[in-house]
Amino acid sequence: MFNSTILDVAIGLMFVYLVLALMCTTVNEWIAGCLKTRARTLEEGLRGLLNAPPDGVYTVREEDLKDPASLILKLQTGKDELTTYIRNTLTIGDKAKLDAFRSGDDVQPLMGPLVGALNRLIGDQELQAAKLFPNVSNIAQQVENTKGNSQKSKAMNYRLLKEAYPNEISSFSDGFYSHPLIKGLSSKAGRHPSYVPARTFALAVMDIVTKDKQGPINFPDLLQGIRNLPDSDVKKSLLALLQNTDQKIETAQARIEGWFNDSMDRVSGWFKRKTQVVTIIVALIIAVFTNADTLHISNRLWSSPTLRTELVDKAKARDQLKPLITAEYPHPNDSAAEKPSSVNPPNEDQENRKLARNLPAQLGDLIGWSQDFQKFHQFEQATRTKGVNHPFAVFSYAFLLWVVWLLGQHFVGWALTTIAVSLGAPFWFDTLNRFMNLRSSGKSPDEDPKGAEKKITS
Amino acid sequence: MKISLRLKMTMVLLVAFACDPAASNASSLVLKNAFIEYVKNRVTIDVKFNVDHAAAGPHRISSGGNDGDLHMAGRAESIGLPLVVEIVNAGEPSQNSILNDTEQANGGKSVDVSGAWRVWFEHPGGDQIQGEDVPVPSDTNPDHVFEIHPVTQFAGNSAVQSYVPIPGYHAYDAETAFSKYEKITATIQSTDTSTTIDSPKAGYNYAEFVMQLAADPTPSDDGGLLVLGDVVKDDEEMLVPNPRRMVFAPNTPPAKQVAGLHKGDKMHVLGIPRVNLERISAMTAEHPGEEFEAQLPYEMIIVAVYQDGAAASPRVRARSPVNGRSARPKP
Repeated sequence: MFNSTILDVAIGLMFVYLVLALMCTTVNEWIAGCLKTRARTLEEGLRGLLNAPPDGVYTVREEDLKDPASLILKLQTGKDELTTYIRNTLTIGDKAKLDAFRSGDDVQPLMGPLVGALNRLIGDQELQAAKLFPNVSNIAQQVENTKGNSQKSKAMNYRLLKEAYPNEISSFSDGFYSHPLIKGLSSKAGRHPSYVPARTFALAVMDIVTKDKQGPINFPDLLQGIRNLPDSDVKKSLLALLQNTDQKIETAQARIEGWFNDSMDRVSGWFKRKTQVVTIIVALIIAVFTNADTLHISNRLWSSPTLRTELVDKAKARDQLKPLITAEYPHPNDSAAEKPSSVNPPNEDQENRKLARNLPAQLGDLIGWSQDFQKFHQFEQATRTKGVNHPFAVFSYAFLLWVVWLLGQHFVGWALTTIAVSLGAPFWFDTLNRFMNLRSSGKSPDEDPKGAEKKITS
Repeated sequence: MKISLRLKMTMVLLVAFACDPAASNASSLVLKNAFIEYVKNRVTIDVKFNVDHAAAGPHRISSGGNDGDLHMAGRAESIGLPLVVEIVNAGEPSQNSILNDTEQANGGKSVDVSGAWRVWFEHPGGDQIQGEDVPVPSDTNPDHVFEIHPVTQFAGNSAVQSYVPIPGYHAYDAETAFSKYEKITATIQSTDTSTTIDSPKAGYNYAEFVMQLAADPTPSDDGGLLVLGDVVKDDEEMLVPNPRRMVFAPNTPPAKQVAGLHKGDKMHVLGIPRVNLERISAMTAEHPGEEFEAQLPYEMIIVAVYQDGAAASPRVRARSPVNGRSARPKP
């Protein structure tokens, strides 16, 4: 008999877990939004994909010098504070080499010293940024905000340096994040998006590699653009993606989208691992805060058929929830509004939908603290009978006893709830659906027509 | 973690416990398919409007909802939905006669109204099913997702001269507004005779932006113009990945200006978003009878064109300089 008490208790418990897991998801999403975990993980993944230093490194590498000759010439002729600073971090020998450089000369001997000088600037926590970058708005405030935080200071210096030499220093991922298609996905200026559609990724990448090409691009333009990129992993990856294609731009775009989607599966895994600890903590807080004790809930469901039936009915309403209302009209070819001939689901189901949406309210007194607070008052009275009269002493002693009693009563139940809730709402949604199907596949003796027939004939 | 963050977390827990986690603020609109087919390539609609409530005067002008519009709420049999009618620039002298008409019509009189139809989930409330009984509104801004906004004609008086920049109004800058429009996800389902759109609350009414024509203008079914345009910033950057449809009401100043433009030309405009029912129709044709989620398709009703350097909003200019490239019809 599928429609047993055990099954109904299990369904009731799952319904409670589903509701709490939904709350857990809401809080988790909020925390991820506040800490920008999603955006940061995505950035880490994208920077890895596009071959650039991950957050926190803030280092200029040789391959990031897009036009080193131009930078050298600027450092030769510039009279500003920034130029002076960079020149002063070079050795006398390197400075002499820099001054002797002429357009068309080999830049390679100067690459190491240049990169070293730029990274020394980035790592300088005492950088007089206001003096070196006088044209940057709010520079004093920015410097103030980074004081005492080496990571923030490096990030600011890295950004300022790139802004000062936008045509000389670049990385593919910076170009990607500053592309309007990607910037447009951010909720606020300066923030990175927490979600990038595969199509937008592919369009931005294709646009970046063919930025010198005006108008519509075709496959040879894209291939040439990729070949013109400096040697890097992203260049190798893109060339590998375009091998053995039918030479159509649509195919190239689809391949780049596929490359992005594959990488994002990995990034999703990182995100899950990163948020797992937070999820468990949030689940524990919810379990304790709502006093959702699995053992206590199971006992109550087991001993109260009314409560069990009520919860199963609610779970059924949730399971059968029709997400959208639809209508049919009697004269479909007439554009003027007319009264619908039918509305699905009908209005009474609308009420059920509203009820089903307001899930936490439906758990009633299965969770909550009202009963346990009574125990606290009992401890207070017991403390007073022992001759303790000072209100603070009474409260403290009773509270201590109450906490010990609560742990004894609920610790295991809270732990079970925490584990269950941390499995997530989708898990409990699917499991609940399976159990509801299982329940509906068996019939209770009262519903069984053959059973009814037997009763009559006997 | 700072104390304030812990406090916030506690508050969120409380709120999450007390509120609906399935997320609401979403609202369903059921439209008759024949109605969608009728309006999808029209900019405007003509209705017989029962003026149940008309505001005593236009809104103040500053930013956000203080947009200088005049609100009226009422019912129209041919629409069959809670309906709000809005006149832009209602405080301008050119609209004086219309203001008199709205005063006279207030309290249930029926008048002929034409203007841009607008489906937008700015003031949603429950499920709105076209053709079901529409309650008499209790004020000038009841729960509604259907508007006629901006009006082009009210009780026989033309309001096309209201399609000009709103003096002193700070519209949303393009980056802010379009990033919001692009992120709205709706659930859509069609039947043989109706289409349901379930969307979260949307806002960001007025956006100031530069559009670059991605194609020459084409006529709409009501004599207006439909133009595919890219939303651009600083002359080069595209703010949205694909061109969006811009709609111009017939005989309005913006329509006259865009008529002479061609692919590649730019216009600095003020627009308000509405659901693109042409795209909705195409999407439901691809998914007949299925419930599916998609980015809510939208298009922009062009309310005004800014002349060279005449941006109304200093805030927008500061954030997104437009370089004074406004519409210059080709000779």
